[in-house]
Amino acid sequence: MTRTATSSRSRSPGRYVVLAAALCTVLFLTLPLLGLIGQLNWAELGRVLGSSVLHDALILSLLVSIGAVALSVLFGTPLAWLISRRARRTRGLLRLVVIIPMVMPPVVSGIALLSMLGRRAPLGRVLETLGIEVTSNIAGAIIAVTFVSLPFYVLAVEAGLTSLDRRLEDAAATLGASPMRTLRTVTLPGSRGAIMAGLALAWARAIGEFGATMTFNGNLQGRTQTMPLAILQTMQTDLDAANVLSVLLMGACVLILVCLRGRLFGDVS
Amino acid sequence: MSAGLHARLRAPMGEGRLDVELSVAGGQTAVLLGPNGAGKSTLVRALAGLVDIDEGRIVLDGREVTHAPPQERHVAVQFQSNLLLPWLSVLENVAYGRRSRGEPASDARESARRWLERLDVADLAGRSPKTLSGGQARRVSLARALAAGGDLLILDEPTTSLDIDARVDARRVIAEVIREVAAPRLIVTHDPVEALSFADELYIMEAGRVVQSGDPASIRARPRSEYAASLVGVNLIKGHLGRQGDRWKVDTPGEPLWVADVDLPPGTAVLARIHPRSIILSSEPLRTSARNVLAGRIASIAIDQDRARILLATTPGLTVEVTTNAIASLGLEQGLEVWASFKATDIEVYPR
Repeated sequence: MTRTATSSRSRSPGRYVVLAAALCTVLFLTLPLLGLIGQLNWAELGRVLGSSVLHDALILSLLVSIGAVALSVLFGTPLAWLISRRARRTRGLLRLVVIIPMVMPPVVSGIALLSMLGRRAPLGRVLETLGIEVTSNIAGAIIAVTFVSLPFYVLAVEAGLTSLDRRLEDAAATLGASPMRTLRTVTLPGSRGAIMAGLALAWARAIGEFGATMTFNGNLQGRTQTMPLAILQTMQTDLDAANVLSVLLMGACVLILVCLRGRLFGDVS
Repeated sequence: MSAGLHARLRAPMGEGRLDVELSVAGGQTAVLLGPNGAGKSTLVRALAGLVDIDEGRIVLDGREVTHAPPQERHVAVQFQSNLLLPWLSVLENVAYGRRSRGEPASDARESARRWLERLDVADLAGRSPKTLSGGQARRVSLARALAAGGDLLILDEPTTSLDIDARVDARRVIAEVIREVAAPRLIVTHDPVEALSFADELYIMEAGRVVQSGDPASIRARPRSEYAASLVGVNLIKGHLGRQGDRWKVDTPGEPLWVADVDLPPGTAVLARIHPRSIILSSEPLRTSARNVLAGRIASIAIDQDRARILLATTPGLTVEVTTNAIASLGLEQGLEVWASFKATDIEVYPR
């Protein structure tokens, strides 16, 4: 009886509606990317590859994204650990604090950062009297990008730490492991998959960051212009060159994705 | 307060409270027996330092460790679910305890290798814990606890979750290796057979409390609760397997028990189990086909509705279950000499 029910359901028109919708979604997600490659003007490639705009932006983007991910690991891991070890209520509150920058429009994040660290903002003024400049330079880019990408890292790692079997840490402690050794040999290896996923998500977000960086830090070639900003500027005068830059940036992201695919989509446990 | 474990623990547990007093001397095995939910796990966690107690004292080998963190207690635990670290090899898991205590890696691995050999699983050293069978994982986690050493060894349900064959095997291995442990040993189980075969001292736990404690023989003679009685409801006799001609027997401190053919070498340390209902009681020696006939006086009679449990001062001692009608018709009373007959095929023999 069950078999009849199943087969009649699979033949129902609803099934085709679902299939058609799914197909549309797949096309919607892939066609623009294919178009990007299809529109690629190969003659432009050599010229763009040799341009100083690309060089400056690529190097800055790499430094900024690596710096932002490093800061996320350094400051995000302890926070993720703390969230995972709190009682449910505190955990929910801390999670909210992390999620807000994630759902905020990046331009708004940029304005928010300016209102804190800008030249005329309270903290920014204090830093300026100390001779520390945190806008319109690489430090500003790193701050803006970290603000936007760190939450992705924290949430991924926190999920991993929360699902870790705490009894393994208990077992290590009964075997004489100090809290530091337990962290190093149980907690961190046990959340390795989540940490890798967090790194990939944060890095992908960092390399593409646009709104907050531009708002907070400006768009000066060789000083504050990261790849996405360079693409926007190039696009206004030279669409073909912008296209080439876009494909290069996309290629870099896909490469990272391929390197981490086992950690992201495979059996993370 | 001498060497060994002396503990009085009071802690919240589930909906009730844990309230237990325990004393185990070095080289002795205490078995904590109780149904699920009796508080056995809470007790293990409290002794290991994984939950704090709100009242009481834990003294281990003369050191007060009542509120010491787990890593400072030196309590080695074989956990019910093994809890091997899946990202380390079997060898590194077993070496983990000694490395945590600052021993050089090579020494710790050397000792780990010896324990794996001792437990016949040296060939698993390079394997990942994820690839082990249930029985193998038990042996490895036992090796890990033994290699870590310490002032108290706890085995939490050491044979639960194993199939019958692996369980018999695990029991034999445990009985063998824990003899070498000089520290007090605590085995937690809900399996009466396991409890009776390991215990020097038995603690029966119900609802967070110890309802009876003592050596297994005294608990068997006078169970003080229904639970305890049902736990020791079987006759379990320790002995060694022997042969006389083509007949098999179990040599006990008293009379030998004739048993059916056994697939074990003579000399094996075994347990013989006889159900009280399989034993026929008579007021004079009977000529029957039953191979075992033991004479002795009635030590006690306990009546429960229409059944009676009669304890016989035979050697070995036996519990016999009869109907209350039989008591009347045979005129059974304390001190009367009776004969207990039972068939060789009614005795279950297995290694201990």
